[in-house]
Parts: sequence; structure tokens; C-alpha cells
Amino acid sequence: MTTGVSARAARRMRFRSRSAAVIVALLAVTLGAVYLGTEAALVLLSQPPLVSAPFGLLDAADADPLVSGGAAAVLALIGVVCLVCAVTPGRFRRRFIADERATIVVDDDVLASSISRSVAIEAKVARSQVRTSLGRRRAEVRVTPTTGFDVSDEPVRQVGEQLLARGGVTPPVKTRAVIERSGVIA
Amino acid sequence: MTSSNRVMNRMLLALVGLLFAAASVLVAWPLVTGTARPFTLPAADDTAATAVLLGGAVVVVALSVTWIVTRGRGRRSLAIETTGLRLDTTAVESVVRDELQNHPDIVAARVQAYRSRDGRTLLLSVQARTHADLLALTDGVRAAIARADATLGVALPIVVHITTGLRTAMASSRSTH
Repeated sequence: MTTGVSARAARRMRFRSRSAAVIVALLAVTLGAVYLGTEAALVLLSQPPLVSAPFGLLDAADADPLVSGGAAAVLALIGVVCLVCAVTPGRFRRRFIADERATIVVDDDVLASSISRSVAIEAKVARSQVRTSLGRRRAEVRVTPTTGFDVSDEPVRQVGEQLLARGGVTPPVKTRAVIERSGVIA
Repeated sequence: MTSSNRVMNRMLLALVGLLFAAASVLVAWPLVTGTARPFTLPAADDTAATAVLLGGAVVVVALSVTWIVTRGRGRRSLAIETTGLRLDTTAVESVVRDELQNHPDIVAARVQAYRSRDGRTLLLSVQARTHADLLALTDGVRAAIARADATLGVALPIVVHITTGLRTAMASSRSTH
């Protein structure tokens, strides 16, 4: 499909960067460190603390279960969010189009919209009567026929699959056609 | 598209997550277990330990701020930058837009340059019209790249992102078969 620089760039286009999440997490760490540093400096300067001396904070929290429980819950929440962001893939809903010159990445909504167009032409219905949803390996095309005009599911399925195959979309997508029982008056 | 180290990003996130989770366990320990914590912290007036804590806090703040302010520097305004030639991305964008401006499936196109490990990579973002013809659209994009290659005399690494956006939402859907 692609080589070298483009292949690496394509991989990076598939997964969401965690830079923003890292910046937010580090801002939280910075705020905590600034607070602890301030309390520590006040102790060293023999000044009264803002809340408590840094090594007395846990004892101060223990005095009120509501405070310690609330603080623990907030810390746990931040921790879990960071860990989830760290381990989940964060995959964008995009696919590749095979090309020798460039790396081409297409959003799923563009592909779905394009399938709907081709199917509408094949089924001779308005585009608003076709709905396409794309999963990771499957596409489902729902056609609401015009009352009095039958629509077969096999041609619809083939049109969707052929469009993606001719476009060189990877990974390959299997198409399923669903023809609604009730039609509309167009 | 930037060259930031994504593995490092995730490792940092995991580290911060574990740090906060550990702090949560530390705070909640007596409340949950009903027993004292299995260790003792230095006394509140222990100046040596407080000085170490202050030093640690300063290091953490310095490292965090350094990390934060050095992000997002991958984008470049120049598509080509050699000793004899400096070409702005807007020049490449003009060529691409000129090729794509009358394409029935495309409502907007933008070119940006990013620093990559092997030099410079261009990102061509194309906003497609609703119900675009996929094959015609990709053919148009290929033609635009070919024209840019011919005009520039060099085939720069390029990533094309076919997407939707505000212009897509505001434009009518493709009206011709």
C-alpha cells in the first residue's frame, strides 16, 4: 500500500494522539506539585500553612471521613481516566485507500455517504431512503423502498461491496443489505 | 501527523494514572480498612524531609512544564526547505486547490507540512461533499497530486485525509450522477 514515511504517517492517522490527554494530566500533576511545594516552603520559612504541613495532610484528611472519601474518589477518578486513556487504542473511524503515490485515509462517514449514493442509484430511490452504517469489518445498508417498487437485497449488497473493492478500501468490508418492509411515497 | 512519541505519551499517562491511583489508595486506606496505614510519614515539622519534598516538587513542576511547552512543534510552514529552495505550503495548496476547485465532490482542500523522521510530509485534507462519488473523488485527488508533483518537480511524501467538516455541512449534497 505505502512505504516508508507514508506508512508511518498512515499509522499515526489511524490512532488518536494522546498529547492533549498527557498535557491535561501533567497540568494536574503540576498543580499538585505546586501546592505541595508551597506548603513545604511555608514550613521551611516557619510560616503558617495554607491548609496543613505537607506531611500532616493525610492526618488532616483523616479527621473528616467526608474530606478523605471525597479526595480519594477524585484522585481515583483521575487515575482511572489516565489509565484508560493510556491503554485504549483510540482508533479513528477511518480506512485506507490503496495507492502507490500517496497514503489516502478516508473517514467512515464519507465512505458510508458514498455507499448510500451508489445504492440509491442502483435501487432507484432517493438518497434520503438509504442509510449506511459502517462497523470495523461490516457495512449495513438499509433501504426504504418506494411504495409499489420492489428492491432486491442482493444487487444492493453487491453495489456496496463493489464500490469499496473498486475504491481499494482496506481493510475489506463485508456489506449486508436490509430492505425495509414498509415503503414510502416518494 | 506530528512526530511526537506516542509510546512515550501513553507511558506518561499510565505513570500519572498509577500515581493518582496510589494517592487515592493512600488517602482512603484508614476509611476502607479501618486500620492505620502500613507505614508512617515523616513528622509534619521534619525540615529535612520537607526540604526533600520541596526539591522533588520543583523537579516535577520543571519537567512537566518543559514537556507541555515543547509539544506541538511538528508543523512547518515550508513544504520544501533546502539551501537553494524554500517553498511555502500555500504554494502547494494553490496548485492543489486550482486542480480541485471545480470538482463536484470536493468543497474544500488544505495543505499542511509536518516534520517527519525522514524530512517533510505533506498532509492534504480534503472535505468531501455529502453523497460524494468515492471513485471520482479519489481520482480527483490523484490528479491534484500528480499536478503538484509536475509543478514542483519533486514528489514529496503526502498523506491525504478525506473527511467532512463545516464546509460539508453547509454545502448541498452531490446533485449529479
